[in-house]
Amino acid sequence: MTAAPAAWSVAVSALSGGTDRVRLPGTAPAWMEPAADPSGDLLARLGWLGTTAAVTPVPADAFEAFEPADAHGATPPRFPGPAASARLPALLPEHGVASPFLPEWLRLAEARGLAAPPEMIPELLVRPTGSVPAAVAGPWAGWAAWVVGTLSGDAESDVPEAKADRRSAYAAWLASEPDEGRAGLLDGFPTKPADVRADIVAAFDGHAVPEDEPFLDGCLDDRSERVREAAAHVLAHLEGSGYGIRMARLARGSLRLAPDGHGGSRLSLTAPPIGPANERDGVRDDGIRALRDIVPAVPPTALGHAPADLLGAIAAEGGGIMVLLLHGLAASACRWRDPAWAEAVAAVCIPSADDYDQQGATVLADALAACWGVMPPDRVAAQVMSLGGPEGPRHGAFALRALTRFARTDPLPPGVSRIVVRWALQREGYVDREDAARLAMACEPDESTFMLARAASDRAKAQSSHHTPSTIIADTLGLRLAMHREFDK
Amino acid sequence: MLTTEAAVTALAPDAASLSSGRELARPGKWTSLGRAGDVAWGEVFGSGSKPYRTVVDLVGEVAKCSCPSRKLPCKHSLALMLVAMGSPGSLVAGDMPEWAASWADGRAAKASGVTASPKPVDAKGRAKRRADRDARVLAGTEELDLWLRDVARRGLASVRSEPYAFWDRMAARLVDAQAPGLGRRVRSLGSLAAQPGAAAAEPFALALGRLGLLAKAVQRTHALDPDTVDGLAGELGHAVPPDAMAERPEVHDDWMVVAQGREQLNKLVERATWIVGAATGRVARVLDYSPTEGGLPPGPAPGRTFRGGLAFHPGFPELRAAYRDGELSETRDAGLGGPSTVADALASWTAVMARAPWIERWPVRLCGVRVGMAGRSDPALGDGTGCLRLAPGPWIAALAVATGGGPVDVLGLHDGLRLQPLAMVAAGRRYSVSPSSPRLSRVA
Repeated sequence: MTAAPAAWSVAVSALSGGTDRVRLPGTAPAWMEPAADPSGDLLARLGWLGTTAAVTPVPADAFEAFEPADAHGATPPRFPGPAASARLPALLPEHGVASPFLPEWLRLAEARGLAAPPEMIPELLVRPTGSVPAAVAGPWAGWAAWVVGTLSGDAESDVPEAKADRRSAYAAWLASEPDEGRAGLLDGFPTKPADVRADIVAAFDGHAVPEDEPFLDGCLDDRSERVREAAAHVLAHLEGSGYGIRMARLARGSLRLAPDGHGGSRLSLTAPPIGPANERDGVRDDGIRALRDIVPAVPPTALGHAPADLLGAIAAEGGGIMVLLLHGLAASACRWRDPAWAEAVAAVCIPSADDYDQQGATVLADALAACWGVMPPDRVAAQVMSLGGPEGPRHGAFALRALTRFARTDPLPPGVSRIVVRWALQREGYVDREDAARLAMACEPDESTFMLARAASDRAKAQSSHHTPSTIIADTLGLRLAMHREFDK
Repeated sequence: MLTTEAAVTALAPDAASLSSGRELARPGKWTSLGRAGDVAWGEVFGSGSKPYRTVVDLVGEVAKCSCPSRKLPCKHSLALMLVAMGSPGSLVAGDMPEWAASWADGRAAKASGVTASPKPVDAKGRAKRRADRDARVLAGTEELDLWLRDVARRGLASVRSEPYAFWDRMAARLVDAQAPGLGRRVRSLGSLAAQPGAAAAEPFALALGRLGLLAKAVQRTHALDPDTVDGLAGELGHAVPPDAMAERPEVHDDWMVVAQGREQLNKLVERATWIVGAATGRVARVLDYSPTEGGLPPGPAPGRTFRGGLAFHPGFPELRAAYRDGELSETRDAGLGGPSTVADALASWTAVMARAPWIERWPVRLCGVRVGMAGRSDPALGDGTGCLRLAPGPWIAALAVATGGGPVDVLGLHDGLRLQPLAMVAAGRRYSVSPSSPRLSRVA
């Protein structure tokens, strides 16, 4: 250390304690005007030392530059264009809450082989486990994690890197090197942390083979609920798995149809048996309520009934059990992407909603929106228009809830914009029903969304209100379509 | 020209003003209403004892009102615009009252480039006012010197427990002594003292020492050269008279706007725009003030280039500037104005400090530097000639990763201890850095 920095440190120490307590050693330089008292002396020394000692540069050999990313084997990534890049900061957490559309942005980037802008990677790295695909963090992910760790004094930690792309990396490993991947992932599996175990199990989704069943079935006994849920999810999709057979048997045993005496069928419900075996499979409730866990875990085709027969009987049954079963069947139809079952379930949800209180109608609206997400656009359009115009009995909260949820369906269903704008134009009363249909079908999807936004905005202004349900739907659709458009520019 | 209600709505500063304006947009609520050409005026009672006088230019879409509202336009102005459109027959055509005419004439004169009342400069009066101000400033700095010594005597450990009122009282006395720049520094000292831990000691010592030097310098202006004295005036917060600014020479360049920051001062919003000359490499700072964020004048944003002249405020060192004539375009230059190593940057900083050692921070340019560590715990920017430690901030990780480990150009404020980056160019991407945000803003 040179003399000047040493004198600076002494002066700073003296200031910390104060000249009443700390005596300033040494004498001031001869050229400095003598101070009247020790505090004046200290003040003067701080003044001139501040221009000399503090500026003494750190020696070049004390500085170690970070190795460039490409020296770590990372090739320069491709980044999205300015518009898509500018969108990302708006989707990242503000006050701790990320936009629900962040995952969609990340998937859009990943699908195009683009990496997030480098300046955003540190924020993406600290997001919850497994939520950032490796491709989106880019080839720089490992290097960036190392830099962030070094800056935080935690260079040895691999946590940021693992958080960034763990689940995606595991899945990619299983896909590219099935044998080595399995061996590597299952080595020491029980001793790994719960979130790592859950990511390993989830990585088998879409990559599991019958030989994996013993491992996955064993995970149903894991001490972590996240691991158990991940295993049940993977096993439900593994053809011929014992879990799938057990759940289908429970569902069929509980949901029977019996003759109603008029040539039709009525629902014959039997409560599933209660026991440790069912609990192990994730059936938490007892009685009929257990169907809440069972039905979504079974493909609709495994129930052993034609859609019209089963849903007709459910509609005739009515009551809370109908809401429970429609919710479960909608989840099942979506999970197995079965458009025929989805349409059948949706067709029952719409007329039934009027019979329920707000809570029941809300569940049905969510089920309806989920079903629309897997149905062909023309079938969705027909059902949406059946909700009726301003005078219609079902144009209230139920329809708005369903359409709002539908507008948020991820991935974005084809034709969603035209469908919703057609209904909303009719609802807002700007044009009659035929004109609404013609207008909505004539314009491009983006145009129609902007038309809806404008119509809704005009209406909101007229009502001195900024947020009507239509503006919310329009904003949602507008944001999502803009995101897609920005990536395609 | 205001022809629709939507046009008036677009002028409203907020929904509340518009709503109140609509309430007042009935001719019966106004005690007088008139119109001459494009100018409408009216008087309306508010909470005061006298009616508010409102005048609007329907073509220029600007207004003036004697009400105390800081909103522009206020609800009375909006209401008058609405009346002029909705009930034009209620505005009596005729001669403008004096108060409306003087405003309209002033605008017309300004538009034609002629000062409304070109008063000759009262040199004698100005000299007297300056002498009075200098006397008050001198007295204020003498009091400040005593106060600073008292702080040094008690020590940081003692004064950091003082409430903000302790710092605010001294700052207010300095404002009264017509040295608002010193007052701002005293408040800033209070903020530094309040920071916990030993790391605050060095910045506090630096600020205290420089404030002491500034106070001493003000007491010895007779020994300083005129340029330095003018620079001191800027540090004290003294405005440059318009006629003096008008005489300043222009510096022509392609001025790249690289960063912009806003700061809430006591009763004002300050917007600082940082500009770098592509050819000269000179750095300039343009300051704008307004009571409200929305009232700030329009100005070029980061990523734009101002091709034209800047007039620098007088005094050493030259930094603050004002726009003269020029045109705006997108920034095309890929750098920050020519080569500059860490050694060059430190040399320029030292040269400034040698003449004006009271400067708090000075902008330095670094070209081709890389991010890394100085020692085990200090992030820094460096090259083969040395390095500068980075100021602590939530943006460091984003800045480091955005460099990709490669060479970058940076403009930052150096205080002698650490560098606070304002702008960075990395692999052709331009960023601006806000000290309080974890994010970099991509500007091009």
